[in-house]
Amino acid sequence: MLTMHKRPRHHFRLLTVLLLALSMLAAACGGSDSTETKTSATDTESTETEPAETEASGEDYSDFKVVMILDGSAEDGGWNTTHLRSGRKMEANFPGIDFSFVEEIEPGQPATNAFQDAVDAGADLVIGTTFYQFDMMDVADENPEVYFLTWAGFEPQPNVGHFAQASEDGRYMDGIVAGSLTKSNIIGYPVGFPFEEVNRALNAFTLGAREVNPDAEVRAVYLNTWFDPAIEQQAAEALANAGADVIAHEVGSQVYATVMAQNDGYVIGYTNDWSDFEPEAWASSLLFDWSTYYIEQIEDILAGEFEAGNSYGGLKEGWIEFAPYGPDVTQETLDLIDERVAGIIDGTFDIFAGPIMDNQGNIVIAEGETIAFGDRGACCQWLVEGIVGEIPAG
Amino acid sequence: MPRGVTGPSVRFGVPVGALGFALLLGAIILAIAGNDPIEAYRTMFDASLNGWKSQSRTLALATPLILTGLAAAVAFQMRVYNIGGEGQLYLGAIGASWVGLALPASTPMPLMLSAMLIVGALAGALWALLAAIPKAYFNADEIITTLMLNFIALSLMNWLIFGSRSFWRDPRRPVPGGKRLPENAVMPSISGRLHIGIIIAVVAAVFLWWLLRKTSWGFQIRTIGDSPRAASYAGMSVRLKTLTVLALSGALAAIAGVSEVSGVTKGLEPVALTTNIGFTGIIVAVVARSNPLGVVPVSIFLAAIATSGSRLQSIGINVEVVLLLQGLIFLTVTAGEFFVTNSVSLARTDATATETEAAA
Repeated sequence: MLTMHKRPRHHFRLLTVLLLALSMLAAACGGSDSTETKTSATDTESTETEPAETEASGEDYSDFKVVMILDGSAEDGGWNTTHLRSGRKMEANFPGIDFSFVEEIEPGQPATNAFQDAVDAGADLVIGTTFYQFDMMDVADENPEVYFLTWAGFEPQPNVGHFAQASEDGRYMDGIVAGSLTKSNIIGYPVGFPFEEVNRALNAFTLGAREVNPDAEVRAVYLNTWFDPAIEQQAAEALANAGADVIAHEVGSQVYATVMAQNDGYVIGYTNDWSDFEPEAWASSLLFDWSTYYIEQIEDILAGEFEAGNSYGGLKEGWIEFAPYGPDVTQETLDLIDERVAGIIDGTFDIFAGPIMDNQGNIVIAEGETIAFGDRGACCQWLVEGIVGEIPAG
Repeated sequence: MPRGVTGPSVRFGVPVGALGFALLLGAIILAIAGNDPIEAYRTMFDASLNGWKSQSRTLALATPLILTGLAAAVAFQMRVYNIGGEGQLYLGAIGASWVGLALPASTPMPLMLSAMLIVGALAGALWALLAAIPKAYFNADEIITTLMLNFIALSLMNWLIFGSRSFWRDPRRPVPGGKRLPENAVMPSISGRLHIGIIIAVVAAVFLWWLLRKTSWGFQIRTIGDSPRAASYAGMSVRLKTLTVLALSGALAAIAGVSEVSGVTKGLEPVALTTNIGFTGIIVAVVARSNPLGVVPVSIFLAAIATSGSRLQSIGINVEVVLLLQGLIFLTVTAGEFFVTNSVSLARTDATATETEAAA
């Protein structure tokens, strides 16, 4: 009956709307809350600042100020933790350097303001650890005396350095681990968004897995998120139900480890050392070490030799290392990994050496061909043979 | 509940009291966390309101909030609850960036920006109509439909940039993102990061105030809000008004998207555009009691709180404490406003009026 609805219902509806709006805002901040739990499982590695080894004693860098801007929590156990750890390593390399960071800075206006605040506070170098390029461009233009390093940017500016990681170098080794551990020959791989860098890492992972286990297949699931425990839980369970006994993830939460532990399987992380969380299920993870790059750039700035432009680095450049391997990874596997790592560093091993087929049956890299290291950024809009799944249409 | 208690003491006393309460509680939290509350509050003030540089960046952050606040407010006036501002904003950004990229880069700026505003606003209005039509004809609850349409709009924007090789996506970028808008499609700066979007927002607020208070259309909207049945007895078309109000609301939220994409991100950037401006607009409208002129100061106040985050961190306050402090002020002021104003209005209109559904 229409007459049942007395006036107060409006207030109830308005309250509902208000609470909905507030909960959406709270959910948006929730990323940091839920990542909080990870900290317990992660070593607070930032404290292990080793004393400087390389620098001559007596040098003092106290009038050089570096501010790092992080898009999430510095304790997310993954991407941001890695950057902060690299920042701490850099700090230890330059005695007395004034290093600080701000976290939870969303791209857009908040990021622009944070870059401006860093410059106003007297920073000589500002490091942006996510895709902040278009948020900081104007600030960099207006402050030519300040230097900026920003992840995955590309627009040339005289005082800006861009950096991106060759994840494939590390992902190949993770693939070797997965291929050797799987008994069902089904490996799950939840992916974030479909684009070149992500596809490239997935391809390298699969090539590694199939080097040691040609029967292995990798089930790729594109989730269209970087962090969403509910969606990730569903993906993890679906993969486990499909028979996957190893899951390698790029999407940020710990649900994969939990699900794999329940299924006597293994988990491979992404730039996080979560070997203490579900230790029986832990297999491996590549880690990024950006300090090599940060240190080089600061040395160049101090020497007046800063070069703007793009830097791309993997194993050879010292940008990639590995978390401790899990208890079930065999010595044989570790030996092969050592061999491949050494091969990539000295140039005798090439992940993308042809012939390589895609999973549609086409030859994408012919016999004798490869993708040069510097050209890898443009790869891949195809998935290698052995991957079950396809890049979402477009 | 203090029935019938109103007037300036409640009108201004409550928000000021709530703010004072929040600051006091915040001071205790800061002290417990080992920070100096006075220094923290001074930094907040310096970063947001002290001097033109700080003020201009607060205004820049307030610009889209004013527009999404107006979007929510105009619908609230008719007791239609559009919580789809977030999605309508994305549609505005998608529409405007399409125009900016599709027209020749040499198109004169006034023409370019006008076309972006019109197409963006239309896109948002049409998106809102997807919820308005079921509401008007089948009485589908707009709270549910507008909320759901947010997720669809977000998926659409993500798909355009991450999931496909769409017209919007810049193929050169290692991390997917939108093509850059040409210079003539970028709203000119007034000072620093502050762009002419703020003028559009304030003009929209005044226009909306005039529309609601000074025209018979506005009178009808408010009458329908008070009593849809009485309004339909008086010959007003509730159905038509539902459609137009939601379309107007969607257009306003979409203009916030146009302003962000043209004045701030300068390309369709899903990550930078998803900062909950649409949802915050709902809170703005509630605190401003759906008064278009109230939306402007409330937006500026909320933007001032939000803009100090990185400065507070740089004086050594833990990011969790910063977020807690901002959330506390936000919530206390909102809750104070909501409960006081609504119990008052409850008493005033309590009588025998019944709500019939919009389609009645």
